[in-house]
Amino acid sequence: MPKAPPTPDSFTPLTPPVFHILLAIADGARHGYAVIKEVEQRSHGKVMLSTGTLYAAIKRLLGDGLIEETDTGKGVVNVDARRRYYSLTPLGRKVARAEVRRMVELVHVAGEKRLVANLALPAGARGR
Amino acid sequence: MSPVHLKALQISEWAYRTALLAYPASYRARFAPEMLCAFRELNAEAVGVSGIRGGLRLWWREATGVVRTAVRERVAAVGSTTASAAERRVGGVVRAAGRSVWVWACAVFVFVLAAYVWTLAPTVTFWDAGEFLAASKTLGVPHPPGTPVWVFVSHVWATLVPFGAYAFRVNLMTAVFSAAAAAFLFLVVHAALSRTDGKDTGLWSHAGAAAAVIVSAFTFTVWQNSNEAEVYAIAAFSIAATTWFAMVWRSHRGTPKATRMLFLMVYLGAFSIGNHLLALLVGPALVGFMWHVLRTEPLTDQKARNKEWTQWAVLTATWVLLIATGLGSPALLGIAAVVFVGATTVAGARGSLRFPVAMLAVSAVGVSTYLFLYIRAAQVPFLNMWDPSTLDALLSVIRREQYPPRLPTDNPLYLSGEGNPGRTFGLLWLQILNYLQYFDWQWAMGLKPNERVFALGRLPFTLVFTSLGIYGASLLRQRDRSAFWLLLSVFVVTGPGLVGYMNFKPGFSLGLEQYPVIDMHEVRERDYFFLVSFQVWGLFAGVGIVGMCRSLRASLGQRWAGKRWAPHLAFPLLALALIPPALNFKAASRSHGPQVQLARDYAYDVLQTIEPYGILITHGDNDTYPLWYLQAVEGIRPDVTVMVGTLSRIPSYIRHLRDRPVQPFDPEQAPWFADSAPAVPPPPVHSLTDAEIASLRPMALPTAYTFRAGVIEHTYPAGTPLYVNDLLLLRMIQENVGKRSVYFSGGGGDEAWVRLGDSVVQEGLALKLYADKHPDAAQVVDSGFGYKVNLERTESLAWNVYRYADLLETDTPQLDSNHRPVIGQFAQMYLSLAQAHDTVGNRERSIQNLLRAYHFLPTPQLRRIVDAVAPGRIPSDATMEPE
Repeated sequence: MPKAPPTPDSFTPLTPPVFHILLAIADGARHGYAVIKEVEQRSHGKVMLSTGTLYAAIKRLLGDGLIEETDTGKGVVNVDARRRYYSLTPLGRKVARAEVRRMVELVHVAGEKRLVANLALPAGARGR
Repeated sequence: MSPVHLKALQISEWAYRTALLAYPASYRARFAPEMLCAFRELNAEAVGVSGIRGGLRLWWREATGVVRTAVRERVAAVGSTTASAAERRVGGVVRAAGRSVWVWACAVFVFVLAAYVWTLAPTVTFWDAGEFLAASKTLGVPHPPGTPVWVFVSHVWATLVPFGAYAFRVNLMTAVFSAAAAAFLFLVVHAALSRTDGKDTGLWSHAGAAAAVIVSAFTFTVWQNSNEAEVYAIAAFSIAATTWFAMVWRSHRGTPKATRMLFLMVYLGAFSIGNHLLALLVGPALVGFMWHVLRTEPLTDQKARNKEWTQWAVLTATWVLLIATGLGSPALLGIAAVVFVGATTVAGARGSLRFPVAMLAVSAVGVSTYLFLYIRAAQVPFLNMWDPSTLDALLSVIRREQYPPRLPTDNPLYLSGEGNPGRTFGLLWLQILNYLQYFDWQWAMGLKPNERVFALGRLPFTLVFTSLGIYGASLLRQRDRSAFWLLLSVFVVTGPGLVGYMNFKPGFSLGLEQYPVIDMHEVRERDYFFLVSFQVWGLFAGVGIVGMCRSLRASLGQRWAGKRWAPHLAFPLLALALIPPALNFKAASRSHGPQVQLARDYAYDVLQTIEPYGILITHGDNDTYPLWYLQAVEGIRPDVTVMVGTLSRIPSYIRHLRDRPVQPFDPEQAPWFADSAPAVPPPPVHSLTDAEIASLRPMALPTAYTFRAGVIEHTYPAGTPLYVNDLLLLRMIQENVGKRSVYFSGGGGDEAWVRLGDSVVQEGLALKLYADKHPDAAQVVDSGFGYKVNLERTESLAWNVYRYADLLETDTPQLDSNHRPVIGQFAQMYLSLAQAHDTVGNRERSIQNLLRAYHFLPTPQLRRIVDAVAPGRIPSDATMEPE
């Protein structure tokens, strides 16, 4: 019997680096260095990906069909031919959403246990 | 940015580029340019903002990331047998092995290793193990061809492993290599069985390979050679690894990895020569396998095809070179050189000259391990057999010139050369029978461990596993014909092929009626020579078991269609694979049974018999190697000079005896000798100069000669043959009167004692030569064996000093042929004591010694004696051995 295609939930939970990478390219194609910088900035320096970790994750994500190699982002000129740009596939987007949903559910559980009230979101994250 | 910062950027970029080499080639090809690009930007930013410190922080993060991910990628790359584009090009249908195969291979390794460790010898065993352990500990040179790789690797291993006694650690090394061989063979069989597009392939290939390896790893000879210090299991490891590398080569054809596999195989072969030549026997199978693959699965690109055939020719020529080097055969070396030059010429014409040159270089590096012998021998280690400290001597060791040559066309009962009547069909038949006898041992030896010649109780199992092997081989042939030929060739070359080449004398326990003289037989069972062939047949049989299981599963599924449980009824059939481990355990284990410590205890007993600084003349092998072990590894009684009679004809050995530093006697090790030990160690055992040693020649005495040494005066009549070892011994006896006692190891006879039997007296397990004074008449009594026994000393040694492993705690020791001569010596000593006590009228002690003799050797003949002397002392239902 042919195997059923994997569901987005079957990929979760994602590891933090992988989730950060998916987030980094969720709003447009990015190359490796840009992904590292995006993750660093969005996490306020708490998550610093090494190139080794980044590309090992990219290899896996490509293999699983969650991201794909693509042209440069809109209006961006590729100044270095060795750079490759990556963007989310539809499946990758669904997986990222599934992971977010999983996290939200966790936050709800934490709220019910009165663990959320004292959490202070970083300033830049408020109101988003 | 300052020049310093710019320099830092350059250096770190160069270092990063180098670090990327840690990734597999395919990974680098895909991601390295991008990674370098990203790193360059990160680096510039880090150094630009935070200077060198920022650069270092980045480096720390990058280095840990590279190490972590590169290891993972390497593991994944090796585990994948399908990723290459080459496979698709050649049209081979290969299923993804995935990571599970590595998990299974690791599980196989752990399972097999656990069983080997459970049955691991805790100390020295008989035969070569004692010599190897002594050589390992002292970085010495054991018997030709010197096994430098084994000596060096075992020394390093035993130094690094932090637990257990030295012998245990080295024994463990054998077990680890052998278990690793099982894991490699698992991968080979798995890869072969995976080449199918049928259903349930995963289960079939995993279970088939696992069953195959379980049968294979626990065939009797493989198991028994995996739990002691020996070279054969490690040679089998080389063969197993090479077959796996061949499979990897096949699945990566057309990529750089395939070429690297060829280099790896040749290097492993060259390196393994320094362990044992057996490893090279995989060569013909490898060459045949490659040929079959190239013929049946040609690459689409003509240029790539030409390159592969060139590589094949070069590898074939290189392997012939290796065999010629290993055998030290100038004729074969010449042929190999011609073949190699031919292959190189073809390679050059096709623009691949670098390949044969690199192949030759890799081989040379592998074979260079032999230089260890050359270097180490010059430093006079504890063991320095045939002293290969000159190039001539080294070549002679590699060529094994010390052993009498034997051609496949010779009659092995006679010396090779003119006058040899030639091999006969009768002998050939006996050799084939001998191989079949050993084959019969492989499946259920524990059922009848002491019935060595075709025991009826083993026959059903032999027939079952022979049939399973044939069936399994045919299944393998259907699945993967190239792999089938690879394994079948290994079987043929290491089994029947070796029977033809080795041309052994009749087996140790075979043809005794036809050839009644013991010298007409091999000195021991030689099943270990054929270990690899049994290992391969075990693989076939294991595949056969799973094939049967699979067929039954399909039949049951059809018969009870719709019943989901029905096919599962076939699985118990897999338990057949557990028969060899279950039924060989008793015979293969070296950690169970009363004889486990026997080799060590026997050596201890013999050494403790010898007075301080004494000389002990031994026969070689089992009365020698355990003693070397005890002296070199455990440091017990190193003051005793163990002189091997059979080696004492060799100039280098005679020089070694002279030059070996005299080790001090430690009174704490033998307090009973403390009062008689001289304060200062005596000079070397003999003073022959190199020139005198070189001039020693065997002779027939032209006239009668009276030998005098102390109180000994013996006349040898004219015509008496005196060999070099006899001459040396007589000289040593003369030189050591009043300085050292001379002893002979048990047994032997008047010729071994240079016809001085009238002057020898039994003391425990040895015979002492009384040269400086006559023995005290009050202490020596007739032993009934043709010489006298020192009653008081032997009684004390036998009852107070000697150790007997756990033989005394066992009702009736039932031991194999390796141990029986030793317990025979124990029995003989007690019989001497019984006779001596009887002579002096001490009847009760005589009976006690007689009972002890019967305990060791419970033959009907002894039983009759005991029953006559002391009726009722032996229970009527006691087990007895055959007459």
